[in-house]
Amino acid sequence: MEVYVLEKQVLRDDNLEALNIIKEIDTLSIINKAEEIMKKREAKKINLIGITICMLLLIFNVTTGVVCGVKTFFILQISFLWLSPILIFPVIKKYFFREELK
Amino acid sequence: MEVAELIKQAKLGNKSALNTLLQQNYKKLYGFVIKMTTDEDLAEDITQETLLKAVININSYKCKSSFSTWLIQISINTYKDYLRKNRRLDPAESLEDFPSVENFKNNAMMRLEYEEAIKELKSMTYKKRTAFILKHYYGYSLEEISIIMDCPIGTVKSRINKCIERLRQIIC
Repeated sequence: MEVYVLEKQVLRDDNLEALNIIKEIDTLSIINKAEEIMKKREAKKINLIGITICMLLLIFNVTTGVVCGVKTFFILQISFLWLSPILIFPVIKKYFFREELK
Repeated sequence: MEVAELIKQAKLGNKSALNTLLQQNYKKLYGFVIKMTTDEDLAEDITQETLLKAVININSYKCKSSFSTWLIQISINTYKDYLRKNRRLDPAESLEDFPSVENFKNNAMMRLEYEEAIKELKSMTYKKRTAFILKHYYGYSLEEISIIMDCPIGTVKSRINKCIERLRQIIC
């Protein structure tokens, strides 16, 4: 089992380090890179939520406009006007008050 | 700070705790990846990608195994993806293109032995190699290896036995 023993000895992590095979890695830069990727993903998600809400509002407006008369349409618009900020608020909150990595 | 506390802090977004965790585990990870890939440059890339994935998905770490085991698991999957993308079953580059290392003179003999050992590992498929490395270099149990490699215990056993048989053939 000579080769087997040799392999075990030479490939031990401390030996690899002594041979300068295990190089230093800047872990902090990896964390920063990961943070950037996460921010981009979050922004994409927020954009998607925003677009979905806008589309839903648009569909709602068009449907009520077509189905109901102008008068009813405006009444519905006024009645549901308070709904828009409530729907959009979580998106704004997430976007502007996002928690950063400490 | 204890490892459990570091993990807890890292999950809460504490950058320095995360950095300490990575610093504590990256050498073991790097050593494992080098033996798994048998390629220094590729090992560096796989290690960096593994650490990146670990940071992004830190919240999905369930503390069922040690942090280093989790990192090893990610690295195996990353390497699998790499092989799939490159449509290769195993890297088949020659050992001649090993980069020269500074302060090489003092370690020349050891370096030769290292290349010899890597050559032997390289002659096995990566699945057998990985099972063998986990068992004989890092002392994982068969059950743990089966979880890490996502395969039955019997398969792990046969892979390790085939590896040892192969090594015996080389010696004889």
